[in-house]
Amino acid sequence: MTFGAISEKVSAGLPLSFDDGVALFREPDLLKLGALANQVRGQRHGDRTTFNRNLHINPTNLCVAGCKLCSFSRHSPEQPGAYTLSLSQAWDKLKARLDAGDPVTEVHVVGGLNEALPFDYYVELLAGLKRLQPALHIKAFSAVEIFHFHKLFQLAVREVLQRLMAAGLGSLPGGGAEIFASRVRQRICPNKCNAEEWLQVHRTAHQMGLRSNCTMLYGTIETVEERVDHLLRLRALQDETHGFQSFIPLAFHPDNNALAHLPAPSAVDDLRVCAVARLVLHNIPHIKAYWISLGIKTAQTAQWFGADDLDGTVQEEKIYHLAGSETPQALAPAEIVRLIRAAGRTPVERDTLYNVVAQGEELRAGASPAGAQP
Amino acid sequence: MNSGVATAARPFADLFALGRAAQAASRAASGDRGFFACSAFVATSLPMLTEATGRGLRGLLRLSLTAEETVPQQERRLAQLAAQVRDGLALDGVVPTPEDDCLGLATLLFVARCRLTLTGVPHVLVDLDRLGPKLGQLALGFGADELCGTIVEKRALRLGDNAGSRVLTRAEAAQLLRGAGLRAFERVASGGPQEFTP
Repeated sequence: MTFGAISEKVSAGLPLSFDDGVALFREPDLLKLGALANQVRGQRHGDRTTFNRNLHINPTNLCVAGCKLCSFSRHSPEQPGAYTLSLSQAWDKLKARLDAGDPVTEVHVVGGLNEALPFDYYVELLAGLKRLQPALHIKAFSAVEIFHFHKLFQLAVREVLQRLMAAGLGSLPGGGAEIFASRVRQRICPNKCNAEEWLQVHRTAHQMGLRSNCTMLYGTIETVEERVDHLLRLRALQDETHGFQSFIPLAFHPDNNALAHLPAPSAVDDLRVCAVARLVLHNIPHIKAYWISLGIKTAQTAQWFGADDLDGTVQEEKIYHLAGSETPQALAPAEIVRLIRAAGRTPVERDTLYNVVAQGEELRAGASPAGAQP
Repeated sequence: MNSGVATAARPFADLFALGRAAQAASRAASGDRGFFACSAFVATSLPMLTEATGRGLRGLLRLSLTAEETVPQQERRLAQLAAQVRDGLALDGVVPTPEDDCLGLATLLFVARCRLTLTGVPHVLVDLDRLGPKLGQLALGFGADELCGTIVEKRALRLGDNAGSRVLTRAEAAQLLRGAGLRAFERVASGGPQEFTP
């Protein structure tokens, strides 16, 4: 299939095939690919780029999965750097933001697969965050963690989700998908749930009315064909449930992990994944350029390669920073607004479910709240 | 601007057209060859450049970019330099160098403007120490054709104290060039550039 023929399919709104996806990944002209993805992004979102005000809490890095790609996890409490936050320590992270007057709208909670913590810890963690700020949206626990709770506590996935929803869970983040191909999973994350289990958690969540995000970790040992297979499996679930809000390409970072001999993916690859995702995932509304993963400069550029969202202010991200991310651990809203405006886009602050929180003059007035500086 | 691509009104409205024009100009100058050098002296002023070339060094000039400078100001500055080159200034390459507050897209567009305006200058270089490998590689698609900065024979794995190191090996520099669709050539101390084979 030629690029011109693929371009015609895109213009006609037809879904791209496996072969189309592979051809796009192999297209040597990055600018041509970017222009097509930018056209699709523009048709969907105009000149808007969204972001939100969020806080990351990683309650524990003790983890039994032992994934080779990970720089965050520790296997035992005796290992240097191992930690588990007490509930009050976790709540204090939000309290500090609220006390500083920062109108944070979302808390993103993900952590290691810790076998020592009871299920009540996670339930009470969410309930306590909600008590501090009832209007807060809690996006918590990747499908890998939900599946871990299911196995460890002998609860059906649906019951795990029900109990967490009762405590305040509002949506699921998209992490842990890595690459669905079992060949890759067996080599980089053999102890995580498999592709079908990951997808089943999201399917169940969507059936229960939860929205979620989805991701793809690229740049380890996967082939182009395995990337396209991954995207098409996400697209198929979206056709079934319509529950994914956003796709987030996650660039592999090689520092401080068992895959440190691999090079980090190049920026050309970063933008290519972003653009191909926009074109293949026609049924997923948003493509997020997660600045922590891509780096600020590449993320800003990605707004012209299919991305319409820059994630959020974040604060306290640990997982990518232990893997060598050179970005700050937080961006002030004013800095995100600058990144967007300087790319010729119009910034819009959103909530987790992509409802507009502030735009235009309203956003200008509230762009620099106290306490949100990196 | 030589390309006829208007950029002043909305700098990003024609990002792809500007990038494509700069890439074409780069290909016209260097073909499909991309270069890297493990060491290069880069002058930061015209007097320093004149002294360097007078001593037999390659004529390379750093062109800083600040966030405050407008596109018309950039274009005027580059047009002045282009006129000096036409008048005989010995300049083999320019190194567009963003200050810390410059963002990624502004840097890429400045690289493209350097390539399109400085038609008498054979090379546009990327300083990997300033741009980093990611933005540096993207610049190769916006008119740059050469990498400079800290490029070494070997480095330790990015573990412990070495995590976060930006230093590239020669093989990694060559890989950056190939990833941008170029054949990799290394500038060596004696003789012309040699194709790099790992």
